[in-house]
Amino acid sequence: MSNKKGHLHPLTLLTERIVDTFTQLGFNIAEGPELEQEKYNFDDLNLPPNHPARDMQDTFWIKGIPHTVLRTHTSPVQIRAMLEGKPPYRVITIGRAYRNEAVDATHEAQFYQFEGLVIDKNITLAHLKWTLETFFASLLGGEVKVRFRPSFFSFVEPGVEVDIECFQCDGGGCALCKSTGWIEVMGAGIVHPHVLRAGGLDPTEYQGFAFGLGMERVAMPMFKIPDIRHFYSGDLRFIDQF
Amino acid sequence: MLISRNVLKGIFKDELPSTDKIAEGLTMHAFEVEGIERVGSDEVLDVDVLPNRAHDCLSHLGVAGEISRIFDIEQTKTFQLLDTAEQARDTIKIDIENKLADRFIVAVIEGLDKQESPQWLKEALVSFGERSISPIVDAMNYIMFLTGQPLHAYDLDKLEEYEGERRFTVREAREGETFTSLEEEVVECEGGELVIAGAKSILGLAGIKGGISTAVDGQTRRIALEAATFSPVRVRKTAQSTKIKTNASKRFENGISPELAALGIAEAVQLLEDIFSNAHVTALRDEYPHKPTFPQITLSATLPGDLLGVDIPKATVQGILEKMGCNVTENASTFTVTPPFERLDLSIPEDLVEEIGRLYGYEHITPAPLPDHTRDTDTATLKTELVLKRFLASNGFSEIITRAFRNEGDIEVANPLANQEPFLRTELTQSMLDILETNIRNAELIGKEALRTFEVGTVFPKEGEKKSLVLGYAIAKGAKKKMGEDAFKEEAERLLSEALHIDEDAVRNARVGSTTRESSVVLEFDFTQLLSVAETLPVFESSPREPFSTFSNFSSFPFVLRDIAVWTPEGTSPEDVELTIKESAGDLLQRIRLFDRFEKTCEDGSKRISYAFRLVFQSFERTLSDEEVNMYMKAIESALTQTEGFEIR
Repeated sequence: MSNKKGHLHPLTLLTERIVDTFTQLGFNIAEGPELEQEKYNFDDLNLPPNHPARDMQDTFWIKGIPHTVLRTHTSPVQIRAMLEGKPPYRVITIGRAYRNEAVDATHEAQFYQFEGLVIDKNITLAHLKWTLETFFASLLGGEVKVRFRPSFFSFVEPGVEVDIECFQCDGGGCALCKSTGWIEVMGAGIVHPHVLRAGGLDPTEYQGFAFGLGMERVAMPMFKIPDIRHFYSGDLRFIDQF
Repeated sequence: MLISRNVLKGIFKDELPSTDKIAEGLTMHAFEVEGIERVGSDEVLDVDVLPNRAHDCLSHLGVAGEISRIFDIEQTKTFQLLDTAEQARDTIKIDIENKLADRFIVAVIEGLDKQESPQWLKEALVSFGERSISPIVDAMNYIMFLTGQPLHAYDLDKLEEYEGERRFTVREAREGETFTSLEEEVVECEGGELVIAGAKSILGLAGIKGGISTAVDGQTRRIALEAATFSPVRVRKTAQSTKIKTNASKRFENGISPELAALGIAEAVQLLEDIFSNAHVTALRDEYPHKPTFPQITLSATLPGDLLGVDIPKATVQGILEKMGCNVTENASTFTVTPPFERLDLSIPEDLVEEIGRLYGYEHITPAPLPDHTRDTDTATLKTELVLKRFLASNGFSEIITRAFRNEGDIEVANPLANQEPFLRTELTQSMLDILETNIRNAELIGKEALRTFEVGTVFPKEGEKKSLVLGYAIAKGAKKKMGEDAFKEEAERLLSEALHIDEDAVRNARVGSTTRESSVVLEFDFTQLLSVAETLPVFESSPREPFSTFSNFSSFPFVLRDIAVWTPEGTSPEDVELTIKESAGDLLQRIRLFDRFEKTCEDGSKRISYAFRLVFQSFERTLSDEEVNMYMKAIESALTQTEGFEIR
């Protein structure tokens, strides 16, 4: 008689879909701590001290524990994965990260990230394109075109911004894609040789790609959620809709 | 970086493509253009220059270079290596302490009579988002936005002379020294700030801002023009500690080539000579202790194809590198490449591969399937977590995710935001109790009599971070069936035992908290421990997932509850009654819930069924009044009464 059905959080629904797709593509899941060493969060990812890009990270430092931060991205897990195992690597990681940013409708101080890493003998941007097209097709249904634009992240070179064809207007132009027909979804690129070395690999032997996206950023247009603060409100009027 | 089409036109020989086309080309091959604005007669592109290209592209010359390469059009003005021609060098003394600057050029320019900034210059500054101040200052600003080299002009007659020399010392400030900026802001030095000092006092914060004592004004007839290259780290630290950030400091912080200073001085002198008919250089000194070595990069001819996954002909690769201004020597299987001086970002072969890839065009990459790969066994707990969550949801539990910060705990953040709790949580129980309390008020709106919730999240006790699991239960006020703490424990632990294939004792041992607050119960478990005692964990299975639902906004206005019960003839389904109610209730009926049903046999042997419904009314625009809701109820009652065999109780 009463409504017995429980509901999963949209971020979990998205996580299920990601884990399902990538498990079928042969990926393992990597994990790492949220309280992270400065070295794994910055230095090993090619962000040395005093670098302006490091400032921009708006990091939460921990009182009384030196060289420790709340991780600002899930990328340190890639370093750990490389150090803990032997190549080739094919891993994804989904977890929480923290930025010291003012909270508003599109920014939270804590958020979820999804990252992928593939390292082998001959992995290229062409493999990245295929992997992402396959992923977005499984997420959104049907064929989804992906395009790369030049960008910069310290841990990849070449670095790209990845756009997908707008799923609301199929590329015709609408408010979601600001009439461009494309939505920016993630950053990606070929793993920087410094990062490979920090992970104990020889860049002349191994190469590969990495990508990362903010889960809320993708969940918001997909589930049509207008304000990021809903995710952490604990309000069943929100959660029980999914 | 705001880029003016009018200024670009002066840098190119031939007609430029339309601004829209330029924007598209830049976005796909160099930097995202975030918008185009009409400013007077000009069109201005808002170019998001990537952080690693601040060395050369926070300038029109830099962005023009990209446009030139993308559209294959010739520039009349480019970055060039220039030599300075020193003159009367003994009238200027330059000291650079501790390698705080790589280069320091001073040019003395005289004959600057009273003038107005030319109209084109004023308009260009407006396009850059700046405003015209005075012709000398305008010229300095313009050259910075044109070349990327910040410049500073000192009124020569206000500069202290010492034994026939003007002195410039690049050094650290001493504690207690003071300095008054052009904007009349007084800076009291802590010691260590990067400054330029004259014979007696501080003339300016190096690379950031000049001082009022030597400021250029309407009376200035002679200037000392400075073009220098300051230590990026020291400029950044000084800007941070004095809290003064400028267009100049931004460029120095990211690092620029010392070769750019010569270009900046040359362009500035040219511009001043254009504006002031009598302007001429009377002295120039170039302190350039160490010319940088220009790195050579050995690029394997196969590397671009190897990383990009697309074959690019060797000749195309060489062509792209040469168009960038690189010096390229072809060898048997490699290229020896010397990048142009302004490209401080190019140091390893992969940097060159990126240049080749983006200028050739990433659209040329065709997707290639990943090779076959056998997955290792998973040691991660995420899949188990997902299986557990699904299981809990199918047993009536809804998932909560909460923020990690609290007002107390073991681990504290050193730099919390204002108004933010500084500690990391050590448990999930307190927040779940609060959540149940707020949600139970909306129970009817949600359509549940009892709420069941759960959360899996990281907690940070001093022993080390771990995952915690909480399950919560709350019952609405006035609900008949209430579950006590023990009964809920039994339900929860039975479910966890079933989900994770571990016996209930082990589940109980992993329970770290059991709390009751009014009519809410919250149980907390050490999730890490639960997973470690399971012998075989449940397997995550791939399954066709349902299409995602989308979010509909909910109202923040209060809702109104009404109950209605009706006798119906035997065989009537509750859905039939619901349908009648929904059709007559109007748009503001948000939820209808059957809460009671019983059968009765009448005197004449016929059977009747009574159904009782809880109705929830709510508006998106206003608080509903009793009178209004009464109206809706009357409409419902009327519709029910008119149905054959129905009788309202």
